[in-house]
Amino acid sequence: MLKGNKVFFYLKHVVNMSFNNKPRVVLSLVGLTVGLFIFTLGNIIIDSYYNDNLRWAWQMTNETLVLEVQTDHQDNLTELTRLDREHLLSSVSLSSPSTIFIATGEDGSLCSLSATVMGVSELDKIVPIHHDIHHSIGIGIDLLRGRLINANDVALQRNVVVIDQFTEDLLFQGSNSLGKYLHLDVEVPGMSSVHSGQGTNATKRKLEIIGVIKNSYATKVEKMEYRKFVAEGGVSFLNTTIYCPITIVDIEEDIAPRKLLMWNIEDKNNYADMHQILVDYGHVYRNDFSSYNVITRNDVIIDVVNQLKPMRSFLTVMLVIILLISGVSTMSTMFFSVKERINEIGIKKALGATKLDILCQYVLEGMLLSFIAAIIAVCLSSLLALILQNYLFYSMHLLFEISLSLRNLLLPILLAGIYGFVFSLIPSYYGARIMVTHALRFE
Amino acid sequence: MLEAIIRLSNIKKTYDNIEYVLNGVDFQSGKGEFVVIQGKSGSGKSTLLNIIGLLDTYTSGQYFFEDRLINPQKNYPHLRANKIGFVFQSYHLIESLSVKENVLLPFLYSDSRLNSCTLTTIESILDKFNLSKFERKKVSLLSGGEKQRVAIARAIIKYPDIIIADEPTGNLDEENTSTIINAFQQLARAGNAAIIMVTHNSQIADCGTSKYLLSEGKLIRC
Repeated sequence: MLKGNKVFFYLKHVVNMSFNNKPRVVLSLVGLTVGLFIFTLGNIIIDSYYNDNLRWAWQMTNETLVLEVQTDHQDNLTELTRLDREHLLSSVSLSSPSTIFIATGEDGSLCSLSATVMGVSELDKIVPIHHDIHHSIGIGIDLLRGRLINANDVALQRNVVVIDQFTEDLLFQGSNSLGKYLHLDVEVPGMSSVHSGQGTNATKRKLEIIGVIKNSYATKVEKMEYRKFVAEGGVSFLNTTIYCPITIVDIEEDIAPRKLLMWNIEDKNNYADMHQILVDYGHVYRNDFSSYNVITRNDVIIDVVNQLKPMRSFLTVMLVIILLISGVSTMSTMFFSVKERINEIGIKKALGATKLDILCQYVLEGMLLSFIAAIIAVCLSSLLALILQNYLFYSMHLLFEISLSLRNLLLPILLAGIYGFVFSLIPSYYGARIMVTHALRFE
Repeated sequence: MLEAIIRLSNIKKTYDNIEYVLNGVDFQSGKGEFVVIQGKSGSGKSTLLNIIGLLDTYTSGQYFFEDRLINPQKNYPHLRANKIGFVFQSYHLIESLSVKENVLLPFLYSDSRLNSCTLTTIESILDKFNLSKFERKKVSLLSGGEKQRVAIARAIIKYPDIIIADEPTGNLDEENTSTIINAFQQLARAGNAAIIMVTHNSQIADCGTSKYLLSEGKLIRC
């Protein structure tokens, strides 16, 4: 067994012997690095795509319960809001989209911004939503300037609105919008009246801007789309959400608007009970609703995961196969290394090395090279992923945020250790079994 | 001669169960002895040394190492690591390592500690063999005589009980041969180890304290 300074000398010896044949080292490193690089980059991209799709769900908390409904029956709505008033976070109405901005170019390019008007209840919390007809999710809100809609605004049916930064930049070219006005239903030239709303050539309603909030993730996507329009022209239809008192939406909409009811229930048992109550209510009164969806965070996550699972599994299998092929190539390089160093094995056995000593030395050498390859692979793949993100952002105007998690950075290094161990073991075992007298005959 | 370290009794060795390379060898040696074994090419000298040095097994007979019966079916790396030093005709150094690293190599596998005392000993041994100036030099850059001195330094660094030298001067010129033989003689006079050397050079053979001839598989004292 190693004693005292021997550990240091032993490790130094392993490092020396690992690098003494430069062509062999380069060959081993290249093979390992390529395999690990593809594996790491593939995982980063898969995880980033996965996280990109799950971003909506992450904005929701586990305590939040959302009910999205569309109905003409006000009684049902009232009854639903009374089910658990204590935990009712918000009750909002969602309008059909209304055009609020148009930009045209001399080359015939056109960009329009349509806003879903979210009418907020007597609570002063605003809950922006994701622009997906199937999933309406509540998220937190960051007020940048001004104030939020409050109960007085609702009670007095004030014509006030809160917009996000993106909308402000588009409508007011970045200047402060507080106190200025937003006009609903601006007509889109050359488009049908269905898109431009009921008021042809006239503003449907004028709303005073009282607050500006931070962009949501959905808005960031729209922003990219706008950058693409600015760079390349063409026709672009953008979407946003603006927030005003619930009464405005309820008045304006000719058909029953979509409603979102959101509860925030911290107690898990109460949460489960409320969830069941809402589901049962939907079953019982299903004929009264044209749309009725109970949504939890898990529902959204499961939905996204199920959609992505087959692709992720397939890609993971492909990456593992690439890694295995790389491993076999590594093993053959190790065999070559053992054969090349048979004389060295003989010398060491003559000096008293056991089979285990020889085995350990070669396995350690294999693992050392694997670790080095993993570090190079992780650095290169992270760099390439960031370059890709910037390229997509600046050249293609696509928003794709790369997720460089600790798992993605450490997993290849851990795998390299296992990989180096496994694929060095057989060649090392072969080397350890060589007879001393035979080995010493090789030069 | 001090008490025998090794005792071989009727040792026989065959590779094909037909012809015996060694056919009943009786031999013993102790610390302070400088044994020289001569013989023609193919007489089995290297085979005998490999058996003594526990690098190879024997077919029948008995071999006692420090009164311990050696089982031919077993391997004894611990004894090789701590009790035996080897000097080969082809040096068998690791070319990519430096002189000092080659000399230190036995410590990886022996029970000896590697501390400042050991390092001082190494410095003095390298100095004794005029290798101090080559300490950091790669072995591949040394001459034959220098390499063989490194091999001897490596063999004696652990103060083994027995040093086995297989044609150590086979590739060397007269001057280097003389240096090597002098070194062995000094070691033998110091009484710390038994030295068993094989050679086909009859002039060198007279330098030892006892001389043997290996012929027709038997060891005959001259």
